Amino acid sequence: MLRIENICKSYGNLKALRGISLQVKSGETMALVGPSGCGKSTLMRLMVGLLQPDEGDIWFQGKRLTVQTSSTMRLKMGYVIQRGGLFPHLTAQENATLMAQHLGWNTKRITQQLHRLVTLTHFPSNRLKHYPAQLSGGQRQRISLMRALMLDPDLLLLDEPLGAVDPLTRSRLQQQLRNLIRDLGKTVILVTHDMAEAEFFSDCTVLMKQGRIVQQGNMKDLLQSPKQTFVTDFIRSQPTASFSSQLESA
Amino acid sequence: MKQDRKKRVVNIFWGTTQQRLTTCFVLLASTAAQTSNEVPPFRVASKAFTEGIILAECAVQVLSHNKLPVQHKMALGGSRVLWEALRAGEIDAYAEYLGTLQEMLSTTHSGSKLDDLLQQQGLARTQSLGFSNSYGLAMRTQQARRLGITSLSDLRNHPQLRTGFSPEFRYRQDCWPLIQSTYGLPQTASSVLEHDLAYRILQQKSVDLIDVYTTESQLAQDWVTVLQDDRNAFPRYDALFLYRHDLHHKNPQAVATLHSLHNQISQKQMIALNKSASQPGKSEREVAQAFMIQAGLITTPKQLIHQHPFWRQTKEHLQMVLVSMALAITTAVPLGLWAGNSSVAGRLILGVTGILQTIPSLALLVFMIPLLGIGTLPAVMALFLYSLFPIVRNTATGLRSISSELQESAQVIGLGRFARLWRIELPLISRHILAGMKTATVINIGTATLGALVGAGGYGQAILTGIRLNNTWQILQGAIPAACMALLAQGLFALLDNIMIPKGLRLQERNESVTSSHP
Repeated sequence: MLRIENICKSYGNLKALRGISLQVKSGETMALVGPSGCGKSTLMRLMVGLLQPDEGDIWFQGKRLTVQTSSTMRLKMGYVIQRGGLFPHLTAQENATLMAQHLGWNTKRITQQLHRLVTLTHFPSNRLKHYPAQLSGGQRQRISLMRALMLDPDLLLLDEPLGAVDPLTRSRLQQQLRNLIRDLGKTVILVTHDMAEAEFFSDCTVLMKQGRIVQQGNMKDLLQSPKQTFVTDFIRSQPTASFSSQLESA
Repeated sequence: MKQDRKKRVVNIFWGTTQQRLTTCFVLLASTAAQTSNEVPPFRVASKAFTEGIILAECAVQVLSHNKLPVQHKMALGGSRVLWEALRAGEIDAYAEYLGTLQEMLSTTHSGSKLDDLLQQQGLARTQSLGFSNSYGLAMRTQQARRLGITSLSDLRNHPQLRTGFSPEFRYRQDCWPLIQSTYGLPQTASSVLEHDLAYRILQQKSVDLIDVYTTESQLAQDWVTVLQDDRNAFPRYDALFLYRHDLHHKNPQAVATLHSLHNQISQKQMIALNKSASQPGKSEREVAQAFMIQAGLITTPKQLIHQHPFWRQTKEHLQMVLVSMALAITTAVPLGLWAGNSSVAGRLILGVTGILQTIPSLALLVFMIPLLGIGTLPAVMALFLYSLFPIVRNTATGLRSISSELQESAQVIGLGRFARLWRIELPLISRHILAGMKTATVINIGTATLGALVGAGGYGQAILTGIRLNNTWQILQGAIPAACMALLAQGLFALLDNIMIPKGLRLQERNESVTSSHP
């Protein structure tokens, strides 16, 4: 589905990514984890073509991602931006259907897809005509997700999808989001700084540090055979030992 | 029947003075009305002060009495503006003074030599209309009688008289210095005062001798007497009509009519005319018409066409503001978008429009005259240039203030450049653009009052006339409507805010203000 080959990216003197290679298989859920500044968000922005790499290539469905191809390829990627990135001047429904409207879908098709997504994301349908300013953090996040899924993309990219949600709703949303990802059966790449969240969602966790991949695998691999002391240190430094243990104690 | 048709033509032209942008409409309407008469209307212009307007009205009255189509371009501006307009063929005639004419041509000749010089410019003149609006010296009548003073020569024996001269009169070589040496006067020119205050100060007996213009309306009062210039020392400022030389064959009837005004208005009559026109509620047109009938120069008392200048000025003012704003908005918004997107172009665009903004409005207007002539066009152009900056700046700032999150969001969902602009960016910066438009409009309405200086009319005409006549009421007649129009524009934009700014944005702003006021 997505192949990344030896990507380097610098901002001036700052080397954000120093030779990243990565492969995401179709139907897989992958989490990019690491402390802030490790380059995980930069990597995701390269994947959607918001940034261009200094070195290396990105291949999506067998085609190389370039400035020219990125605009058409984006239609096959759904991207949920950090904090949602909803347009304040459009209603929830207009935000979700903006791109479909722009591409000239007919009303029936748009309505059908919208209703499918409303059900999928558990968005209260009586709030579709509300503006982002009138919605809760969780509702905004659902709209953002609906917008990303509107065109039925092959790849779903989530950048800190629950970052802007308060802790109480967060646990409920995590559960719903996991179910949703499972039901969709799509390829998903997720960026988070929370190891527990990574474990909870993904088949494969990629731990990054200072622009490099430290270790890749599932949580068990990372805990049992850490490649560097950093791996263990990072997992221990997490505020909650694990999301599941929190649920159990509750 | 024919007379009726003529009246309608005149009507149309009086109703829409100097508005180039409606010229097409006017021409259409006038050709529809004047089927039998092919001669284009004779364009008489006037300087922006009472006497100039009265003289032009006299010409207009007698021309239209002679069944010649005529148009009065009222209060176009100062001597320089009218001189250039006449040379450029934008007007056909206006009333000028001999002394000013000599200044324009940098000559001291007054006879046929002057006519030759004029002809080189493509111009010609009539003989004196019968009076000279020159400088003079005036005293309180009572004091003059008591001391037996009637002429400037008599002043020699009264060195004790205190003078109060305007700065211009005190220092111009052809004024006090010349008079003092010609007559050998012993008085010293100690206090210099504003001419507007001179009569009041003379009446209060703080000074005994002031300089005057020999036809100004204050001289109609009995308590003041002008001393006779018995040695003809003051330069002659005989009133006359200047007209384009080519009219001799193009419109000989009109030329003959202008010449018929030779020696028809005496000094006393002109003073009286100025005085009646300075009374509130009297228009120059009414005053001129009454005089012309009384003098027997026109016989059929034509029905007075009474159009209050307020509505004409409102129309002219609105037209200037609307046209220039429409142009400014359609230019400035794209420029602002460009400036907001590119830092190099941005700096250049903001720099240039910013510099335009720093040029004093008066100077900008004057710069327009050689390029665009006089009338509505240069005023609209200057206002247009003036209104660019606030809109450009606000649009660019608005565009730059869109959060990177929303910009990426728009890009990443796959909207093209134009769709992003239309569907996302423009709605998001609507408040910025509207605020820029509001600022520009309010400045525009205020600055448009200067349009009167280049003959575009508007409320500025009332203000200018008021300043020249030192008539506060007249100034307010222009200033108050202009202020009201600016307030109205502000109200209108407040309404527009509610219509044009998307509801979602307003809700968001309200939330933000609530959270910021209750941290």
